[in-house]
Amino acid sequence: MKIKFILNGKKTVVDVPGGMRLIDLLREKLNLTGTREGCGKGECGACTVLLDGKPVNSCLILAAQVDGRDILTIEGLQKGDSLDPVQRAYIDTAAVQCGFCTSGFILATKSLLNENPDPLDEEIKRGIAGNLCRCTGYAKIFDAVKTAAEYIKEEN
Amino acid sequence: MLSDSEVIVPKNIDEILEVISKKKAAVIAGGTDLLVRIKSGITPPPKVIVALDKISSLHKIAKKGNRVIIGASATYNEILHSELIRDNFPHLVGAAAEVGSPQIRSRGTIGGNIVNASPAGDSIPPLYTLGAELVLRCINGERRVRIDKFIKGPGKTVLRKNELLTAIEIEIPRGKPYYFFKRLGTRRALAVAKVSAAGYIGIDKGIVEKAKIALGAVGPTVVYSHSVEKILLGKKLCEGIISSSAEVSKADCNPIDDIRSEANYRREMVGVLVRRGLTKILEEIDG
Repeated sequence: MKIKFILNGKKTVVDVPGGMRLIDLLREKLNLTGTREGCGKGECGACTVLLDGKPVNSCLILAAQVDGRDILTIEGLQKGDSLDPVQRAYIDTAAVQCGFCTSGFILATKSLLNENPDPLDEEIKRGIAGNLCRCTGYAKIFDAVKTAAEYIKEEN
Repeated sequence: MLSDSEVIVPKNIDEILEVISKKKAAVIAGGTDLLVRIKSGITPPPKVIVALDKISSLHKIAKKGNRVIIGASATYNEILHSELIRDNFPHLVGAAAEVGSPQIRSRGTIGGNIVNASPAGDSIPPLYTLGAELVLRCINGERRVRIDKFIKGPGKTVLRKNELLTAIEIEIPRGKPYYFFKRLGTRRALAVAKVSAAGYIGIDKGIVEKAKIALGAVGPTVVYSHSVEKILLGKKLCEGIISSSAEVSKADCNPIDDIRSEANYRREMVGVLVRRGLTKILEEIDG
C-alpha cells in the first residue's frame, strides 16, 4: 500500500507491504540505519523514533500505521551542519560507548526535554526508562541529559 | 517483514465494523501487545490486520452527565494527561503512569489493555473498582458489558469476532471517593506486574459506605476481594480495620507460580498492597 508521511521534515511517499514494520521501512527501504533494532519487542528502546513528537518503538508499529503522521529519526535531528544540543551533550559528556543504544537515548532525551526542560533526577529516570544501555551504567547518560538541558537553556 | 498480513487502515468506524463482519481480522490499536506476540511466535501472523490509527474519535475522553466516556484508543499517555480522569479517577492515572515505558505509553491503549485480558493488565483493577461498562459495537448495533463480566480468563473475553470495543464508560461516584492503585514488579519500568491492587472507598460522615477492592495478577482474571469489602462496609477506617483487611485479602486470590513470581509470595504481597493502599486512604482522610 502507498503511504504518505513527513519523515525528518520532508514529505515522503513510499509503497509498503502490509506486514512491514516502521523500523524495516526506515532501515531497509530508506537506508536510515541510525535507528537500531535491539530486542524487537519494545523492551530496549534502541529503535526509538519520535511520532508526532512522542517517543515510540519503531519495532512495534507497522509502516502502514504512520500514514499521515510525522516521524523524526536520529538522521533528522541536526539542523544543517550543526548538531542538536542533545547530540552535542552526549558527545561532550562521553555518554557513548559502543553506540548501539545512543540514537534511541538521544531521541528519548529530546522528547523528555521538550516536555520538561528542567527534569529532576527521578523525572530523568522515568524519561529514559524505556531505553537500555549495556555499556555505560547510565551515569554518563544522566550527565548527558542534564548537560543537554543546560545547552538548550543557553540557546534560548 | 513481520508477516505477510494484509493491513487495512479504515477512515471511519463503520468501515472497520464492515471489515470485521466479513473477514477474520485482528484489530490493532497501539500494537504493543499484538506485534510482540507475532514477533515471539505466540500469535500466528493474522491474514488481515485492521488498524485503528485513523479513527481520532476513538481517542476522545469526555464527560456526559455523570459519566466519563473514554475512547478505546485513548493511550496511557492521553489518560495520564487528561484532567477529567486525573480529577475523577486518580488511581486509573496512577496505573497508566506505571505501564511500560514512555514509548509504550505513547502507543499502548486502554482498549487494547482490556481486550488483551491479561490478569496483570495495569488499567484493569482500577476499572473493576469503578464497575466500568464497555461499549461493544458491531454492524448491527451495540451492547454493553461490565468489565468483570467481559473478561473470562487470560486472553479470553466475551468479545465476538465481529465486535469492536469502542468506549469505556464510568459513572462518577457521588460524595467523596478515595482511591488507590499499588503494584509490584521486578523493576519500575517495563516489568509486567507480579501483583497489583486497586481500591475505591466511598465515605459518608466518616463511615465506609462503598468499597471495591480489585486484585491483579493473582488469578486467571482480575478478582474482587469481597472479604475486604465486607470488613470495610459500615465501619470507620482505622489501623485495626486495615490490618484485618490485609489479612483476609490473602484468601481472596488464587495465584500461581510462574516466570515472574511464586504463588506464596504473591499471596503475601496482596496483603501488603491492600495494607499500603488503605493506609494511603486513611492518611488522606486524616490529612
